[in-house]
Amino acid sequence: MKEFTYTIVDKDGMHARPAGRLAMCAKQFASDIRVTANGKTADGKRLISLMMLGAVLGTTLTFSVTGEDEEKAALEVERFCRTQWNPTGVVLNDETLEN
Amino acid sequence: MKNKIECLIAPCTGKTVPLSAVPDEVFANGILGEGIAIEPADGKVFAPVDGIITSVTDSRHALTLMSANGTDLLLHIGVDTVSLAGEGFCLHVALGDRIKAGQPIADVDIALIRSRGLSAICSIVVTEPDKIENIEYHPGDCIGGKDAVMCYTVTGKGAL
Repeated sequence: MKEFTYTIVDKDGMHARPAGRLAMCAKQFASDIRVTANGKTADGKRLISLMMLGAVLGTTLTFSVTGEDEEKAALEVERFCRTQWNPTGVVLNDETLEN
Repeated sequence: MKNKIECLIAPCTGKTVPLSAVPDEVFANGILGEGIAIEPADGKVFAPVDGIITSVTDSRHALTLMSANGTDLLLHIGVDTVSLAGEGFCLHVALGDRIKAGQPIADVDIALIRSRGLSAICSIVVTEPDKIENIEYHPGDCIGGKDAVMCYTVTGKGAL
């Protein structure tokens, strides 16, 4: 299993557009991709499951990737979050998130 | 489970357009799933199916539902309306509520949405399209809460 965390820097949180794009990215891989936040776990390949996490700006998502292509899947999904989700390209630090 | 035909009732009164005409790439390119959109004539929003509300965004512009046949649906009002942070959206349902097709579920100030330069187009999307087949769209004018705008056969598992 491969694990990584990602903290949401999109001010609108896990809304339809990023959830749909994240699910589409995750669906390319055979591995099982679980996303945990707020004490709930979502299927990373299902848009609705991701939206049901209720994740907002500053929420930390924990991704658990298990399967034959877990190495590549974890790498690509993390790359998606860090480079394609953040609409402004601004990396917020902890101080910014608190404000 | 025996395959079932499910129809989505128009969530708004207006004119249906293909999802590909929605001015947002994730809708238009089918990234979110298969569906249909309505250019609304007024701000009354109705439940498209019998089912349950599975999530409500903080900004109240999007709801997710699960139909009684187990179909996951996204009801999204407007384009980029997440940016309004809830302004102009009044929901009559909450997470976990059971809904009946045609039941009023929201009132939306479409004039306000349009005054901000945003599209008020209302999209209803089957987010797991691999679980449905034989999709039929009903183009043209539609009455919210009454007319079926899209029908399909549900083949997936997971009825409520």
